[in-house]
Amino acid sequence: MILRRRSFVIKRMPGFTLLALACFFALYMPLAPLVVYSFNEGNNIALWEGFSLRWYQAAWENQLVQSAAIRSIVVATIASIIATVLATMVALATTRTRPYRGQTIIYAMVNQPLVVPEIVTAVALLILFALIKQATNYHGYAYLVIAHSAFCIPFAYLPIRARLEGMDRVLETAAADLYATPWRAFKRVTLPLMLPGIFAGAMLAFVISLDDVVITEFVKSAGQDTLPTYMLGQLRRSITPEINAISTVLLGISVLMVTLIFFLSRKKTA
Amino acid sequence: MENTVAIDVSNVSKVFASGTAQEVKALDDVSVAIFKNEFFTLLGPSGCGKTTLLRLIAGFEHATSGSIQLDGAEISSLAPYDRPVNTVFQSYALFPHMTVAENIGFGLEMQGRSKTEVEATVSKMLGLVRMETLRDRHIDQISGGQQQRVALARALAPRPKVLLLDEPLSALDLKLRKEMQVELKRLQHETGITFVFVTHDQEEALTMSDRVAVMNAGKILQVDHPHEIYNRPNDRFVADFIGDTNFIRARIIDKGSTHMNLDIGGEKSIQLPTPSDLAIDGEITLAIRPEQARICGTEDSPIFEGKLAETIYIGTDTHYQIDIGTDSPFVIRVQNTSGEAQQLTQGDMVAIAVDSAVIQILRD
Repeated sequence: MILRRRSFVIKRMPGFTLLALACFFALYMPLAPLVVYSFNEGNNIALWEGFSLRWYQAAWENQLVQSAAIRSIVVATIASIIATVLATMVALATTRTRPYRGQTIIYAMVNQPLVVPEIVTAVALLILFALIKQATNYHGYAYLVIAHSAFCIPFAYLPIRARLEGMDRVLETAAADLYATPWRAFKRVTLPLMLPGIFAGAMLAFVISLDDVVITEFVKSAGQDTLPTYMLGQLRRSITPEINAISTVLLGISVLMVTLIFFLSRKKTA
Repeated sequence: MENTVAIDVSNVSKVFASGTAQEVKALDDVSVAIFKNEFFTLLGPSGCGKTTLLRLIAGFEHATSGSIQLDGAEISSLAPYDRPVNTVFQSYALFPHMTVAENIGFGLEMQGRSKTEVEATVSKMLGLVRMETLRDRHIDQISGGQQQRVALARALAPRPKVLLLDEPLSALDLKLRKEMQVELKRLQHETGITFVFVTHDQEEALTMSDRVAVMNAGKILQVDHPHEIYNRPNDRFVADFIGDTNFIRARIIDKGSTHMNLDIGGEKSIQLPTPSDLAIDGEITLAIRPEQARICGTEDSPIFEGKLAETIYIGTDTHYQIDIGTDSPFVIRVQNTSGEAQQLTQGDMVAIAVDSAVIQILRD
């Protein structure tokens, strides 16, 4: 009798490969026509009339797209910086301290935007900001920036926290042993080692802010369209492949960011 | 010079999770003096408190009570970065984002030494641990043994008054460990720095140390030179933890001023000189090392007899397990000098002789 010990290899499960392929197909197939028709010569988003870059050019020259894109990038940049700084502080406070009462509550509160339905947050912010607008008569971008910073915090927090948890605390002990004061130990050891996590968090926050529709739609004042809300507005009128072109560019940026995050978070911790 | 105290630990206790159900008394009223320029080892099983004591000296933990002095000055309230004491960590804890040279220079840099001084000391340290060629390598590009050397150099570079070593050799394989033992002794001689070494390996402790403190359950049981620890253990735990020992329970039948008679459960009683320094009565434990007993003829004044239960040949030595009527057999180790084992067969009655000078009387 031959005894063969087999390890569990998921590839050997019957139908697994097929299922995986089906999932990938369902995830990525809808993107294909979007990208393909962004290069369409004609005005139709479902009728191929030949290859052209005219819609990219049209989008590039469209004043409304330009200003919405700049607004999106400015808001996303400021919001992701604020969110990352706050998230770094929270991550340090939840991993680099002795366990204390209320630590889980802080954890839950930081991650609250991941759990509460976005529409609820959006309505809540709408009401709150309406009250503030009435009282102060200020209608600027600060509302958008504050709202974006708030829901970006957990996305920035998670990779930073993961990085800190993967870092051996004995390194900071060693720095203290070698005459480094707590601040210098942070500057010379903790910060450089957690930097890949901070970058990953910032990029994730940036992408999340760039993509947001629901909260932005509720919070923005007149003339404060970001790229996604501008696109949503366009869909209510006639649809041209210009929308496809803008979407394809956004898709490209997201893919690039996610790839970067992937490589950053793979960097070794020890 | 020889016996100036470097570190004076007095009446130190450390309780973790005080007042909770998980309360642990890691150190229980420990006092010990560590001399300048000595290789001092804290030896004991895991959980005995040796690492806690090291962390208290380094400043990573604070004592619940008691005082720790370095060169006569109280240091127990100082932060780790204010103590002229450096540590070699069990996991080395080298900074992965720095090169070998940057790691070694870190302490000096934090002390605010000039760039040229840092450079010069780093080069000297690299020479000391024979790592000159790997100066600009990153930590993940060198082997475990090399990391060990860098960790040593990094801790020695600021010239601490005391170097603390927390089981630094435990991650190395046997051959490398033996090499590093010699290396550590050399470094201690060359630098003249007091080394406090923590290990659970009794052989390592005996080979390397000037003095050894044997610890168990948060207490220091005995502090002495290795040969004294081995030959004159004052406690049953010490005798048991270090080397092999035969323990024999004995009852004092009558105690004279020079000699006393002991009943060890067999037919015969044995006679030993009465120890002058011990006020003992009733039940005691005798400890006899297997190599310090010998099998003899009846004319050689045996102290007891027994039946040979087992002969175990292990190359350099032969172990004879002899049933003398106690719970566990009495073991005698005989070096195989002649190339042929003694001709004894199982069940033979053998007589055992032991110099009364090597029999240890232990407190219970």
